[in-house]
Amino acid sequence: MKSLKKIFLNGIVDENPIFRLMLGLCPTLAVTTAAINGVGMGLAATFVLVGSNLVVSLLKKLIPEKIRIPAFIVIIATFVTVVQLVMEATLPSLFNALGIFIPLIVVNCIILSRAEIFASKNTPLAAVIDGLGMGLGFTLAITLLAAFRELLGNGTLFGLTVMGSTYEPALIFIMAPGGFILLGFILAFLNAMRKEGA
Amino acid sequence: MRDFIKLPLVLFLVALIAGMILGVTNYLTKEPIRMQHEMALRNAREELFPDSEFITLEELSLSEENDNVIAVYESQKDGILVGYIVTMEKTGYAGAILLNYGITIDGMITGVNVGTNSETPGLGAKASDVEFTGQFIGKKNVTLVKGTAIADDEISAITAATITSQAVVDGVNQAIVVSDLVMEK
Repeated sequence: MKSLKKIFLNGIVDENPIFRLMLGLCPTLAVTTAAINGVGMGLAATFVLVGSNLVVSLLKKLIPEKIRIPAFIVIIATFVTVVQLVMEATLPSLFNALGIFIPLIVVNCIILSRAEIFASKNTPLAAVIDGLGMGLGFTLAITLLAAFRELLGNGTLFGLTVMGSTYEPALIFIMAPGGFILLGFILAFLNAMRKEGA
Repeated sequence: MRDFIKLPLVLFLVALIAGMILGVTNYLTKEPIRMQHEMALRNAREELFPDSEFITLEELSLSEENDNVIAVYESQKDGILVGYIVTMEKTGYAGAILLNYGITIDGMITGVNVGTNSETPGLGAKASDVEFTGQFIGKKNVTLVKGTAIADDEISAITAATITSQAVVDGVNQAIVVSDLVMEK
C-alpha cells in the first residue's frame, strides 16, 4: 500500500483534480471570480470530500456493488446539505458569496470520483488522507485561478486594491471566457514545467 | 432473487440514516438561520434609517404596476414619521434582485440596500458595493448614466453591468412614487 504521505501529495501534485485530472471544472469556472470565493468553495468541498470518503470507506463492505452509486450520492448530498445549513447559520457572509455553488458541490465530480476510485477500495484512514489531499489540491488550484482572475479582471486581490487606479481592469477575465483562457495558460505552463522536469 | 430484497433494503437504510442526520441538522440550525435573516434585515433597515422604529404597513392596496413591492415600513424617530422603507423585487440581469430603499417624507433617498440576488460575480454583483449604492444618498429622482456622473441627479452605472444598474435606479424612482402614494393615504 502506498504511504499516507504519498496519498496526500497525490491529490495536490500528481493527480491535482483541476490541473491534472480536469475534474470539477464547472464550479471552478463559476466561483473563481474572486480569490476569497476560491478559498471558501475549496474548503467547503474539502470538508465534504473528507466526510464522504470516510463514510464510503467505512461502509464499503455493507453497500452492495450494484447500488453503490446511488448510495454514494445520498451520502454526498447529505454532507453537502449539512455544510450548507451550518454555513448559513454561522457564516452568513460566506454563505451569501457562495450562494448557488454550495448545492452544486453535490454534482462536483471530484467527490463522486474519489468515492468510487479510492474510498470504496481503501481503508478509512487512507480515504480521509486522500480526501484531504484532493480537497486541498482543489482549493489551491481554484484559489490560484481566482487570484489571477481577480487581479487581472478587477485589479484587486482578496478584496484589496493591488493595481493602481490607472489600471483599467480587463473585464473579460471576470467572465467565463476569460476563466477558460487563464485556465488554459496555467495548464500549458504546468505541462511545460513537467516536461522539463521529466 | 435475494438481490430483489437486499438492494432496496440497503438503499432504504442509507436514505433513512441520511434523513435522520438531515433532520437533526435542520432542527439545530433552524433557529440560528432565522436569527441571521432577522439580523440581516434589521441591519439593512438600520443602515437606511439609523435609530428608528419600524412599523410594517399592512394592506398596501397599491396599483398593478407596483405589484413587485413586497413590503413598506414606516420609519419613526421618537414617534414622529420620518420616512419609509420600500422593499421590492426588480428583475436584473440574472433573475430577481431584492432591494430595500429608504425614502424620507420629502422624497429624499437615505440609502439603497441590495439584498439577495444572482447577478454576475464581479460585474452586476458589485451593485451591493458602497461605491455604487453610496451615490444615491441625499438625492431625489435619479437617472442612470454610463461613465462619470456629472449632474446632481445622475448615477454612474457599474461598468459592464448596465442592466443591473438600471434595475436599481428604476427601483429607487419607483420607491419614491410608492412612498408618496402611501403618505397620501
